Amino acid sequence: MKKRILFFIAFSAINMSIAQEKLTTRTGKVIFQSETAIESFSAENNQAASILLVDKKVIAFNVLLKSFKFEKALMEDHFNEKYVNSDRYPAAKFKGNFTNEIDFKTPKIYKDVVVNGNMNFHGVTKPLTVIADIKVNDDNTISFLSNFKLNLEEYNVQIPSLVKDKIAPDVAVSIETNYKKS
Amino acid sequence: MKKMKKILILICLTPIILFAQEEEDLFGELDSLTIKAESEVNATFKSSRLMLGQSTERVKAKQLHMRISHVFGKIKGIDNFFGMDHINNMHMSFEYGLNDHIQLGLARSNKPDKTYSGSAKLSLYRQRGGDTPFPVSLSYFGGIDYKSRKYTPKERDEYFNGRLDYVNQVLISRKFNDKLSLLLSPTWIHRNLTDNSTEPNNVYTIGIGGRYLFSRSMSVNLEYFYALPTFDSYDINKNSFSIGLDIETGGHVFQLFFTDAFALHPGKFAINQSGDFFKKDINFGFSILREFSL
Repeated sequence: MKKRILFFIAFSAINMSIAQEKLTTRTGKVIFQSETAIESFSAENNQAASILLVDKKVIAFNVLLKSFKFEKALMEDHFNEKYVNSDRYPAAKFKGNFTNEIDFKTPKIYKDVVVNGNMNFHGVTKPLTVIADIKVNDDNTISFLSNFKLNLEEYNVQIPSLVKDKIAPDVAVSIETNYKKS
Repeated sequence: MKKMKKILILICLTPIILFAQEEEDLFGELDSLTIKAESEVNATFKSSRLMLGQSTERVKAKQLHMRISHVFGKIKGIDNFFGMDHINNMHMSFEYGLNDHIQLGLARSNKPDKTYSGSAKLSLYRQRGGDTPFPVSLSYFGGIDYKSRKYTPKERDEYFNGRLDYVNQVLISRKFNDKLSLLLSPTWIHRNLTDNSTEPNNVYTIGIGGRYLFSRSMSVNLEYFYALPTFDSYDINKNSFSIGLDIETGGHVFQLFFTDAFALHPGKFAINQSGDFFKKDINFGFSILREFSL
């Protein structure tokens, strides 16, 4: 009996460590946009890192907040200092799973893939579900595209009443990443 | 049987332990994959000026800062509406960032002497954390003031060089934590021609100041310019003291201050003043900053 159990544990460990297909990028694009009647602004980050584990249907992101570029430099300073405390919380992290069967060998577009995961941002971790398109390209690369809304208050990002009219409570986030085999 | 139970628990836990391990590995791997962001400390001050004087904050590449500042009359009481009946000085400046390290400026102050100023601020070192830390930000500020007012006699009026003053400042700042930042600015002012022959051409002052952020959008600021006692040619106060508030509203910064100075360009406010803050010679002033992206 004991032997059998030990065998089982050993077997599952081996199972875990079997090499899997891993795709990565370090130049993913993340844009967020805030739109109100008075003022609209956006910021772009072209240095989002992401890993896509093909067999496990896992996708993970690491986005440094200081790498977001704003049109107005002063806004960038205030974004980092006042709103997201990027010295204390340098990155936004997301890890999610999807269930769709995707054949990563044949070019095809998979629309409306549901990705369930957890988002860690500004010291708060919350479940987040996003809808994404996954494209398997001809050259064996894979693209991941998604648009979703992020409610700032849920992540403890407080907007002072002085600028309430200028910053949207929900910011629109769009992600575009292209993966290659690492 | 007990042993069995233990083993069973272990089996149940195994996937969780492995899973946690795996998540850590995945994010660890992501971390090493991520292109590092700049480790420069940002937002040491809310704007490129502490109040009257320059701070180490810079106008970044292709940004234009337009600033309008006013100083009102001496606060006496309700009869002069706390000084606001009378605008003592109007200062306007445009500062442009050639790149992230060079900023050029043009300014005009009506008092004193209807002065036009050209300036350059060079950001030499930035305070940074990370792998290559540096404890302070260091900038140089240089300016030329041209006094455009009418002079008498005629020879004085026609003497071009006599209208020029030069300002040289080293700005050293450190952001100690989220809230507290301090600034030290040794200043050398050279005046080609002084109003009075007993006054020195060279004046050395030391600016000391700082800000304390008491809410995310507001800070209280202090600034003191101390003239080194290399001269004693007039009794009026040689130092200037200001206390004020920064209010930041996303793209705009409002600065409100109480000061004993009435000049708003460094060639003047850093050396001689009309009054003494601690003898109730206090003027109210403000400045409005708007940033444009060109």
